[in-house]
Amino acid sequence: MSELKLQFESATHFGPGETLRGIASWKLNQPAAEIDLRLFWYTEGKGTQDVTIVHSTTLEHPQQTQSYPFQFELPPSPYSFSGKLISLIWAVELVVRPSKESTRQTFTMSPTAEEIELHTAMNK
Amino acid sequence: MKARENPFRVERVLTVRYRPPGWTFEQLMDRLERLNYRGAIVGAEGSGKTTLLEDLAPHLAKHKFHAKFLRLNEAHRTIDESFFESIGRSDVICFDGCEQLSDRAWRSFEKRTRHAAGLIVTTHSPGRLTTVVECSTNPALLREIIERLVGPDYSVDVESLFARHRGNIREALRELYDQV
Repeated sequence: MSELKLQFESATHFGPGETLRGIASWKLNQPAAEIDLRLFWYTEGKGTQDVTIVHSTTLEHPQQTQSYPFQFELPPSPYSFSGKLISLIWAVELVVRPSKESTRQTFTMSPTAEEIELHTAMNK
Repeated sequence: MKARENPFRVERVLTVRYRPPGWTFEQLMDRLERLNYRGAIVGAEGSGKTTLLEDLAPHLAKHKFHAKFLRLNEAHRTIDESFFESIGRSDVICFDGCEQLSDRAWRSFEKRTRHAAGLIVTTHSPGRLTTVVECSTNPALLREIIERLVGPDYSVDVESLFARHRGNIREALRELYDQV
């Protein structure tokens, strides 16, 4: 099994428009055709899942062992939030092709840099 | 509880895959091969038809076929022309929800997809293609799935939950989502 790692330079809490910097590193068992690095958000909860890829970078014919610094400008929205029925989660994901091995690192994005809790927000 | 922490959230439930009761995927593939990869997975709602259809994809790939998925439901009952145009000769069409087509539309669909390598459908009742699997549920299966999601100590009256949802495992798990 390959070793895949995603590490953010600083915290895992960000504000809209900030720059998320990090390092993707991998040690692959076999050569890969390409590696995708994606910034995206997805929902989890009771209903059907939504997924939106905001930025995506593809590295063709990557080295079998490599460290790759990356940075993404975060968009103004949507904010990370959680309620009883749905959570919105931001993440960076690294996907190796064609093996489809992947790893993911989640983070929160909101004006307070904290996840917005819907029941709290509604009670205010 | 936050949605992302709920043990019955959809993404987690979807990690519970189809477990063949008393047969193997190899046996199912043999049966499909004898039927020229044309067959129906039959069962009531929430009995695992879609999960089984999805889980067939890697087994089809081992036989050098590509699983080409098509999903219809009550909200989406039409098939885009581009679907027919994109069918390749190594595609096995995995059609989830074929009962959404009228008999006439089904006949037309069958005719227009004959050049595909196969056609496997899910449907609530038998008749359109030879039935290869009948999906069914029981309280023991529901209990097993609940235990896989939350462990053996979770307290719930599985028999009445199962009866309340008439064997629809998906709906039973949705009820549990609201209870935690």
